[in-house]
Amino acid sequence: MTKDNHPSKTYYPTYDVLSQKNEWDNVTQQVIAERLHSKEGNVLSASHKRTLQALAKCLFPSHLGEQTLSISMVLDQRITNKKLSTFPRGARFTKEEIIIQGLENAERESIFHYHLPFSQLDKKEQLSILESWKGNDGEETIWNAIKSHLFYSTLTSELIKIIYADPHIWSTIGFAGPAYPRGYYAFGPHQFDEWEAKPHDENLL
Amino acid sequence: MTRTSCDVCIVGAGAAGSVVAAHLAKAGLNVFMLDAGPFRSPEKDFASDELEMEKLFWDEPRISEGQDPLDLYRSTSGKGVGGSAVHYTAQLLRFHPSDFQTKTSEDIGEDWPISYEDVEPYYKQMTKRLSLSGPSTFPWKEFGDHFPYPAHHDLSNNTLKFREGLERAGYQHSVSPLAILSAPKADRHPCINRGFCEEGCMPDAKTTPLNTFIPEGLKAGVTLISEATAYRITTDEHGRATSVLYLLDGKQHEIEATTIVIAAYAIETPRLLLASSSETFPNGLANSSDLVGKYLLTNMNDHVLATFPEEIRMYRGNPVQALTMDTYLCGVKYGFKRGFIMNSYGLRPIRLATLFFDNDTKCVGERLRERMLDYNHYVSIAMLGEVIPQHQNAVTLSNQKDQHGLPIPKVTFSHHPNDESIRDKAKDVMKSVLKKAGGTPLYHLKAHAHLMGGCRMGSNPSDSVVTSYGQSHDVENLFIVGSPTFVTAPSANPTLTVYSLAQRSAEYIESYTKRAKG
Ligand SMILES: Cc1cc2nc3c(=O)[nH]c(=O)nc-3n(C[C@H](O)[C@H](O)[C@H](O)COP(=O)(O)OP(=O)(O)OC[C@H]3O[C@@H](n4cnc5c(N)ncnc54)[C@H](O)[C@@H]3O)c2cc1C
Ligand code: SF4
Repeated sequence: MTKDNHPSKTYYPTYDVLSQKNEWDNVTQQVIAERLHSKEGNVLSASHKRTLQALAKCLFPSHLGEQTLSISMVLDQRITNKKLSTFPRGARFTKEEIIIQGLENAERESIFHYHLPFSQLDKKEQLSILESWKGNDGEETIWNAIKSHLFYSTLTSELIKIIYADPHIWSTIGFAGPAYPRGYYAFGPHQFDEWEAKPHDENLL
Repeated sequence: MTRTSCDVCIVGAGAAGSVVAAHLAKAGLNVFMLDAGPFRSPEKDFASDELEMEKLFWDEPRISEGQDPLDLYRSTSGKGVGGSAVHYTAQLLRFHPSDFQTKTSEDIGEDWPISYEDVEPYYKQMTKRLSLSGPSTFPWKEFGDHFPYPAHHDLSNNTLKFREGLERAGYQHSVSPLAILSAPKADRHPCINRGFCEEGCMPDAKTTPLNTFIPEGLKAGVTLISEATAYRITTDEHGRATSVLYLLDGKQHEIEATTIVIAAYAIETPRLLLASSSETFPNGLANSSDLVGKYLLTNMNDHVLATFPEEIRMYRGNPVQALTMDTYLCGVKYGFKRGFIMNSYGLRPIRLATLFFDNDTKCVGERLRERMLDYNHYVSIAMLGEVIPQHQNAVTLSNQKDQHGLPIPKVTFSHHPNDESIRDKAKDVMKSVLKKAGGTPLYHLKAHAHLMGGCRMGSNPSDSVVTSYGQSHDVENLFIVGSPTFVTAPSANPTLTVYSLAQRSAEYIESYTKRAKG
């Protein structure tokens, strides 16, 4: 496969990991169900969430067409459950502090430049703000303790985890997801278990 | 504050702590063991899910700085009974005889105060107790031999391609020695190739402290206190350690003990010692050498990914299934010191997507999606490379305080030029192996695994923190076990040596404590 003939779309258009969910152990079933039907957390405000959703659309435009989780609710839940309590590399703030302060700074920056909340900006304006954060400290008056590049990398890392924890994304990449108690038994070249995605490369064999 | 007393109090119920606890309790001593995290049951508390199982990692703030700041979370930590060994990949190798003498043999690093021969009886014992599986003839006998269980035979495409490439490139290769059952053992079933070893093994096929030393210890009478964080070791006017202070349910508690053992891994062990400074020990406990926290070590664990025309599906089976040790001391040939090993190494989606972004901050959105859509066409292999000990790589206490008002540890890490030479060579070799297997190598993803050092062992109190038994040079009844005592960071995975040296220490601590009790 080369870049030129890359399909840019899934090899497994009909595969659905969730169709197998009754085969998973109870604990995993519950974990995934809670993720898919995430409840409101109690840390992020409505305004944080609007900014977050707009940022997620800029960062992961095409994933979002495929992805089914409510990113803002899952992130809010994770913050509420103290899952973001460590420091990222090179930082002296928790991931939670960086993300919350960063969302507020993004809003301030948007109002400062465009007199509108971030979520109401054009895509072009949103992208230009986002682009200015990468590898940069950010506007000094807004990004003082927490620099814009740190917010950018911390938020993106956390969103990547949530996106690749989505069973619908697993289906698009052909990842068979939870595998207990069933396990894998078909081994050898081109051998797969029947509950996995059907091989798409059969014409190559 | 509640106050209890016992013969031996152990801080940390991971790989090392659990071995020591089981031995001492069986020897009739009254043992208390604390762990900062919960006591989990694989069946009830684990899930087949990467995001959920992040709960196994250390979840408190640590500052990570230096030119090459380390990830102190995903690949280098564990919190809870069983420690990091709950979610280790379980490739268990002995160190090479030269690993104990790098200064003498290659004029780099430092010599250990012990040799391979000192550890060998314990390697043999642990190979049996951990029910290691491995091939009947392992090409590199110093690294492992006489495995009680046969080698795993269900090899993933990821592993088959890796071995094909090695074969064509002229390297020896083998199925890995693993602490994973390849056949039933008592009420435990063999591996079902589920692939989530680094998320904790739900079927309990992987051998960890949770199905060995912890139940053995509990049966012999160990008092295990989970979710209990030790924050200070107290001392008396004679310079002896007297008690462990810990937090449980937000309250302070104290355990007095004849002997205190710290088994809290490479960050929390020096942190606890440094935080236990007093009038008698103003520089921190056991720190007359000023080396507590110094010479922190890790391994480089870079991956190279290649695409193949056919589907590979690297998620199938345990991540690490095969290896070559032929490059272990390859530096001599290429103008640097020491070397690396290579493994097949399957990655699950979150780990892979995270590595892509960590290594290239432009890899978001469409670029990440394009790469991840090819997930099932990648073969992923990894090196494990030796890192040279450096004084400046250290754990210190910062001025920042955590939620309990305790100083947050600061970890500083930068690579030695020799590390970079190993890394560059390994990258080239991995690419050529993947090409020989018929793949197109695309991505080199830098990463680290394992933590060691910070309380190095040695014979001389001025240039080491503990003896080879883990006994503090300064505080006679204080012992340190586990990877913090390591002097160098060999490229063979560390934990068979952690278990083995813990057993060696346990036997010494038994006689010491019995003598001290009178
Ligand atoms: C993802 C991953 C994969 C790995 N794969 C391999 C492999 O394939 N092969 C290999 O050889 N090694 C592997 N390792 C490394 C291995 O897990 C460690 O070398 C080993 O667990 C170290 O043992 P230890 O007892 O020193 O520390 P740990 O096992 O980490 O135990 C330390 C314990 O101390 C507790 N603790 C810390 N501070 C305190 C405190 N203040 N109070 C109370 N308790 C405290 C912690 O909660 C923890 O349970 C892997 C590690 C990880 C994370
Ligand atoms: S692959 Fe085997 S050892 Fe790993 S989690 Fe699955 S059953 Fe356990």
